[in-house]
Amino acid sequence: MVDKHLKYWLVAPALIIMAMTLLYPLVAGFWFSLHNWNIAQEATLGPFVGLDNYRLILTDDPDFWGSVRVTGIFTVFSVVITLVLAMALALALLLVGNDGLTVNVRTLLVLPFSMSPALLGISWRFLLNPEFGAISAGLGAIIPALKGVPILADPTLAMAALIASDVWHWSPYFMLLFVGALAALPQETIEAAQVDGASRFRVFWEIMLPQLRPVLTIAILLKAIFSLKVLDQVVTLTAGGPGTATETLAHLVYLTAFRFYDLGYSAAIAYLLAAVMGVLALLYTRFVMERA
Amino acid sequence: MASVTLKNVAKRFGHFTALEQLDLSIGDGEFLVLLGPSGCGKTTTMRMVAGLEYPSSGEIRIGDRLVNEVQPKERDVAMVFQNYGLYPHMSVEQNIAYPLKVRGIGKTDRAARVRAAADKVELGPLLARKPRELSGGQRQRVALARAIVRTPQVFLMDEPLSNLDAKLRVTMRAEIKHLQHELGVTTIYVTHDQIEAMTLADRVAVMNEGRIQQLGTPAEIYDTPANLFVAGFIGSPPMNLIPGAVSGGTFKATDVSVTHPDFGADGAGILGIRPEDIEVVDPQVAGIVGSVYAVELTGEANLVTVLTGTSRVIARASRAWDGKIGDKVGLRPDPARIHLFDQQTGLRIEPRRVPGAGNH
Repeated sequence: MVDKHLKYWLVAPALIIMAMTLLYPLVAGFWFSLHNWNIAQEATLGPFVGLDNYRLILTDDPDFWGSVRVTGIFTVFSVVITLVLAMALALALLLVGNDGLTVNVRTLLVLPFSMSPALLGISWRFLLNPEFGAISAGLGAIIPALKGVPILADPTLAMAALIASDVWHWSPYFMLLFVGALAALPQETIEAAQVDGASRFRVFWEIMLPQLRPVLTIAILLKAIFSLKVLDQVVTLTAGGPGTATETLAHLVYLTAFRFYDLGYSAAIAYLLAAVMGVLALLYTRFVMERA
Repeated sequence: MASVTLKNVAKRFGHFTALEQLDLSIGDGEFLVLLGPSGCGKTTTMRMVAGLEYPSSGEIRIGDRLVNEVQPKERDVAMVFQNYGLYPHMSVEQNIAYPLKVRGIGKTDRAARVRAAADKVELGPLLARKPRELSGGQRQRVALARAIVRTPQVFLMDEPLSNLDAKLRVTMRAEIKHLQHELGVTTIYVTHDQIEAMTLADRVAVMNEGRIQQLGTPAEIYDTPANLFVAGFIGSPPMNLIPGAVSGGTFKATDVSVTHPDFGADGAGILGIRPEDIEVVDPQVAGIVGSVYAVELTGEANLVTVLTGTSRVIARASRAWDGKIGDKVGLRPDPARIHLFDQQTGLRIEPRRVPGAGNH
């Protein structure tokens, strides 16, 4: 006979590791956020201040609100552009069909996703260099006004570059997701619409897209989570600059903790960000569970 | 409404030839059934009329218009799919209205026509439901309503009844026949079910291996099959086929001897007799003798399987027939309803040449 407690013993190691790597930092982080703790001055936890850090952040911190705005802009544009581009690529792949060429093209298209976002930031930095960067040269050739302009020195252009690099990185992933979802659509509904007299655009817009809704919802939630926590490319591509033009929340958390050594305050910002992502993650899991 | 003409049509997928040289002309308002086993090319033929596939060569015309590579939406045809192809995110009403909506027909006009089409197939009370809330038969009706909501040049139906249970299939069959008669729209109907073909069609095109084997009315196909394939495919239980040889006007095989004035030249042949054209009689007075192998009561008749020589022959005897397994019996075919086929080509030889036989 099988010991009925066996199942708990089997998952116990995983639970313990999860508790150590996830639960402990969550609890400890929240505890830190209730204290003043400058690690440049003191090695142990400083004085307890209650919710003061949160009050200060929400009522009297223009840096935080600036960063919220930056993160919001980045998230909206990167989510929308990534998903639209991914859908366009997926449709294109499906239209071309399944010959040998498509398989190779697909492999090429997936390459950007295989890159580490930190390295991606560094290589994009070179590509955007006004003197020898390929993207910079290409842009200059198409739009003469951008010729020789240091893109990363301009607040708007730097944000655009950050979004572009993120879109470049994530589009392949969502393209694959959409290719699978499109291929799984019942072919008869598409053919029925064609015979009923719908144009290609209408077939896509009125027949395919509504049937993709569950997948689209999941994609939007996932990409929003990824965008909200963007850090690597910010560090390596723009370092939040120029000024605070690309200072995303995750980068602000990182700066506050490891440049200004204000651990308590940084933990509080991180907690506010985590709260938003927690809601999205909850929606996401609920959606995935519903589909399962 | 329009006629449909396929001339010299072939369809290849890569190296695979789905259809080789198909000629078919369907009259205005005719109900034509494409009948054949899976892989015979019947669905490909229909999809080319719909514009969902383009022919590799040949000509397809709807009315006088050449439509070879015309997109489906420009063809003015309506199609009912095997799995119905309903739009799962739309209500029944929106499903039926979709062909009108994409044609830019106004909301009020649309609602009236949807209502009329839905009433015709008794869907009136279900208009607000989603397809997933409907039974198989109801979904089938939605697909039909979506097809009849406008008056297309041609109806195309791809095995529309194959997902329904046997009882519902009989009901829907009658409804489709009635609707087509009422609307008078040219209809092409694909099926592998010979009963559907026989009951629905004005004419049947029996297909196999990418070719039309025979084209004719259900009676022609049944009474004078053009070749062995058609003879074996149509009828249930199928036609008995006995290999043997003709000599001096008499067909002979072990325990079989059948004489017919129309049996012509001597040579090898295959004798075909349908079970219902055989009378079970005393062994002394019959050309075919054997012993009873099995008896099956179907309700309205007894199917008697008789072992004769090397063949098994099935005869349909009356319900009152009371033989037992092992009994010696004789079988007497109706001389007016026997068939003879060439052993090599499989083609029908005398008696009775068939008009419209396969183009071999």
